[in-house]
Amino acid sequence: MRNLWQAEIYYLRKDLAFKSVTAVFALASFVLVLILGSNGGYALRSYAEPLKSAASFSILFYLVIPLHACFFATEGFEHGSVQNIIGAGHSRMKYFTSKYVLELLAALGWLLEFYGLFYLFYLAAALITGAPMGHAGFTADLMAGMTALGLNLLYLAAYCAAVMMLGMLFRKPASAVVAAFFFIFGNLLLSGYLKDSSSAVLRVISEYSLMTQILKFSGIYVAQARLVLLSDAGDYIRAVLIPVIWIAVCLRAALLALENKDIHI
Amino acid sequence: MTAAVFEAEGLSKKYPSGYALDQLNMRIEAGDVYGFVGENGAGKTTLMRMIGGVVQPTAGTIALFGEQAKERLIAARRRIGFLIERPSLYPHMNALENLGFYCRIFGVRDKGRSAEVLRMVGLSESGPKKAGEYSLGMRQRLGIAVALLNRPDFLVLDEPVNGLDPAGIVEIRHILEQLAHERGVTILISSHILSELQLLAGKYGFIHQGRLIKEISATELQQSAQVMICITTSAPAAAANMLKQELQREDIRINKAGEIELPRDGVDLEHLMSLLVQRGVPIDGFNLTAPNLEQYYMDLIGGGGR
Repeated sequence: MRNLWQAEIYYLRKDLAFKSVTAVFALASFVLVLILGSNGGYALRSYAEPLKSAASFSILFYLVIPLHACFFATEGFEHGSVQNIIGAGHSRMKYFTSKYVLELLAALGWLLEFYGLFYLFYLAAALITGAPMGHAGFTADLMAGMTALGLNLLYLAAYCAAVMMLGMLFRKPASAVVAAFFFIFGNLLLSGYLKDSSSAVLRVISEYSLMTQILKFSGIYVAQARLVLLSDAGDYIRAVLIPVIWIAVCLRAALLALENKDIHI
Repeated sequence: MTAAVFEAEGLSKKYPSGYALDQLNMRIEAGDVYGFVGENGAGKTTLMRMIGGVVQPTAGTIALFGEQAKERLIAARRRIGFLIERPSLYPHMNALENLGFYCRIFGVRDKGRSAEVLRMVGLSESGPKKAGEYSLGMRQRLGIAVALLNRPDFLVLDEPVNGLDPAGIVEIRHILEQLAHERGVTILISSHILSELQLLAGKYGFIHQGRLIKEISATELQQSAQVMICITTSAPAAAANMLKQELQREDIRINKAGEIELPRDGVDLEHLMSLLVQRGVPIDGFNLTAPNLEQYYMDLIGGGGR
């Protein structure tokens, strides 16, 4: 497993897609701080407020990282390296697991990069513009920011499990990316369109979709003209259980697909 | 009996279109250089992929270095080097970077190993050029370098000289000969260039429609096939008729190249030459053909295969 990890890290270091995503999050953190400041200035209620503000842009992660996960999952089939890796005495399960864990580490790195840079840019902008900085609600803002960071990692794990499962099923990058697009935007549609459906079943599907939970913990979910946040323990348990079930089901399906199907390059 | 490097028993692979392998039994001993011969779709690549673990058998068993249980079979593959169909390379990496990736996969810690195998396959001057810009021959050489990276005990090579120029083919043959003779590496190699395979392999397996129809050693091949006399002349028909009458033989024929061909057995070469000269047959060429793998294969397959 250690050999596989080292090889995959080596691959990512040379991978243009990995470098591009890293650059996108750096650029996005800068641009979003500019946009926020141009709308309402850089006044800070507390030093932790930028972390809470950064959480409201969570959706950006789900448009970019799952696509990288999809390419990363299928690159071995595209270039044929999976054949040599399995031929070199690595089990299929280890092959997939190493890729999945590494993608999660990359996702954690990108989350920290975005949050960190967003925070630094915001503070720098506040200092440069001489905006007022207070201490009110520091703990609440910090907790909100950290909760969003943790849940984002959990939900990215669920998204990556789903798209990497699609990668193992389709194997061809082009087909897998189309399927991943359907999954990502399908989730957006489930959350956005079905929440106001007249059908109770469709409303339940929308309520329990991954994207609805993401929008809730990001603080941007609006239903019936009302902002809905995660509030009680039940909400938090549901917000944790839904992605955990997705992860368990998708990883099992991915491993079954990889173990039981022949690999043809 | 010592454990074979590779052993297959009753190995079958069924696809919706039919059997790619059908009840195949095969054994490769340590130190063998095994030439695998068969037409496209005969099942050669399927078997090699099964050895690599990327294709799973429908029935039958595989053992590598005597290991048959799933986990031990996976571990046994660490002793194998593969080149199956086309080299698995990253087009955005150069030769050293590609080998850097596979060094990590194989757990090769020797920092000079990549440069060493690049030198062996004649790619040490490839520099920063990306693998995506390589010619087919260069890609093939790099694929062979990947297969050699972990100092394998067993090399599985599917069409390794595909796309190589004549000098490259000879170079790769020398490398493989060296590995087999000096390090005792066992080699399973397939190629459509049968003359090349004949120069390298000590044992041949002929596969046809998923079945191993014949196994033969190089010595047996030499003994089994007849040495033929080939005479090139501007008047082959008349000369052939004359020889049939004079030598009282019916097995004299004119081959596709327009040469007179007859088996060496029972022919006094001195008498034959003097006969041709006495009768004024213009001789443009006279040679003996060695037993030929290609001919043997064509006879085997042409004769029904089974």
